[in-house]
Amino acid sequence: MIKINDLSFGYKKRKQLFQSLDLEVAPGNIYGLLGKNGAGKTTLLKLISGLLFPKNGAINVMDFGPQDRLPDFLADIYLIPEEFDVPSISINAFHKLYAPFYPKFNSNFFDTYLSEFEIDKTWKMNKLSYGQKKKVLLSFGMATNVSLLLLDEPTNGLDIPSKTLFRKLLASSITDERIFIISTHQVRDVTNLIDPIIILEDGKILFHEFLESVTQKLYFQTYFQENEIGEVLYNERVPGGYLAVTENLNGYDSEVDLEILFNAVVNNKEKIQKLFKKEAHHA
Amino acid sequence: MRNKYLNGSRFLQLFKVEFISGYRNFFIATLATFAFLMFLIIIMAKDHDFEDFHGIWYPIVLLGGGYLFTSSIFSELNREHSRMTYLSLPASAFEKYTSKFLITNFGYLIFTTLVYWLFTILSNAISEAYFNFSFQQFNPFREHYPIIILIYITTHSIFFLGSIAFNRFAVFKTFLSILVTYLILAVILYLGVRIIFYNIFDGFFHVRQDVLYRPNDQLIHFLEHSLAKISIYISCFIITPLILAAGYFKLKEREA
Repeated sequence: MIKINDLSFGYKKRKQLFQSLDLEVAPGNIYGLLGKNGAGKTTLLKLISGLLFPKNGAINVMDFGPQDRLPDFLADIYLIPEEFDVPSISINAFHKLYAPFYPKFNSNFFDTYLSEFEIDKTWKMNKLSYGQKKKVLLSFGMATNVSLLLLDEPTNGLDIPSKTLFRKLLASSITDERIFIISTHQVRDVTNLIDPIIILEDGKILFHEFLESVTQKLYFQTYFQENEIGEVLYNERVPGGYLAVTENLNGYDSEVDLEILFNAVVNNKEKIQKLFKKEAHHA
Repeated sequence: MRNKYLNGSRFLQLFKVEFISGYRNFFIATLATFAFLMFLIIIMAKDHDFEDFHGIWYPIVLLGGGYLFTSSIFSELNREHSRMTYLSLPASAFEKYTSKFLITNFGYLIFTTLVYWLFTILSNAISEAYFNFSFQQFNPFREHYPIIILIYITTHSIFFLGSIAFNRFAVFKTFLSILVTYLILAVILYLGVRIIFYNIFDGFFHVRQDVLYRPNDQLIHFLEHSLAKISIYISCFIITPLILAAGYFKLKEREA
């Protein structure tokens, strides 16, 4: 469980990125942390993992204070950053050197993930392409079996089959005890993977809902003519018509389009927030 | 829950990481140094010159190389991505600090001395065989070598602190800091002497002639024997531990 209370943080003294941020994250879910560039997604991951310290407020991650950076805490979380340095050693040596730091590390899983990504363990880490390095780190991170796996833009640099494989492997790795948080602005890459969805903007949490709640309250549909849509929360032109999101007044199910949802939340903040608050209150 | 400050297996693993991640560059630097020394040896053996070659070059290799190596040991903290890897590694700050300390201090000392000793055996054999000339034998436990080793062990802490405190060009900034510290201490010492022994001066800098030519035997004995010993003890057992403690707290501050 992650609990963030009244968090304030800023890189510069006068400009706060987060002010009084509250968030609770429960195990057993793959959270999608979405937001525009500069919204604070990476910063939030760094605060949760103890790489940055809050100016005010408290962060509690699995009963640890991340800023204490205790070895037992660090051994139970793994952050895969968007940009990284890798040592100039073979993947085999990397495995032997770093796996013992993670008590729950599963070497069989690591080997399986690598072979699924078509990566040879004898290859030198620093000679790999960016995408291949990412595959090694993703395989290693998933094999650590840590309680908290933080992934910052994990699909950047991956080819299309690897993105599909990544989704498959990650979905199979989640258990009731583990939390995965994926920060991304490539929302299409994490469709059918993330649930719930957290949308950050300007250091604030605009939206934090499970997909079930989204489908209950919002309706996604493609229309041929703009005038067919009715009272729309957000719509955008797509080839052959309009993709729109409206309030789900009839209780029909529809497939959530994460990109449209994200744009609806960002462009129609008050209405969306009011709708979810109202429904939550009725429930 | 394992010990949060020091755990044997974790520390050993960290030591392995430090060693294996950094050995390649270190190996190349060592090879280059000894190739250069071999070149010098051949030139000097040819001219039957410079018998005490090792008396000069061992301190240069040990102190110069050690200071350079030590000054770069925390460079990963200065690069954003490697800093993230360093901070995320599941080990305590104390373990990270100690493993780097052991590698740059005793690790470097033992490695360099051993390699230098092997090098002298090889170089002496070559110079005797081809130039009929032999350099003095190198024995790290004899002559002035133990003092050189003690100097390295104690002064290493300054460069270790410099590596933590300075972002870039740590070795130059450390030398500069040493120079500035010495200048400040010299000024303070001079002012202290000028105030305490005001009656031996007849100008601001000028000492009275009669004082200059009538040195106090007790003072000379104190300076040559007792003060030298006191200085060594203070350096080894007070200043070095203090610098190392400052380094640890500075590391904690930089990790924040």
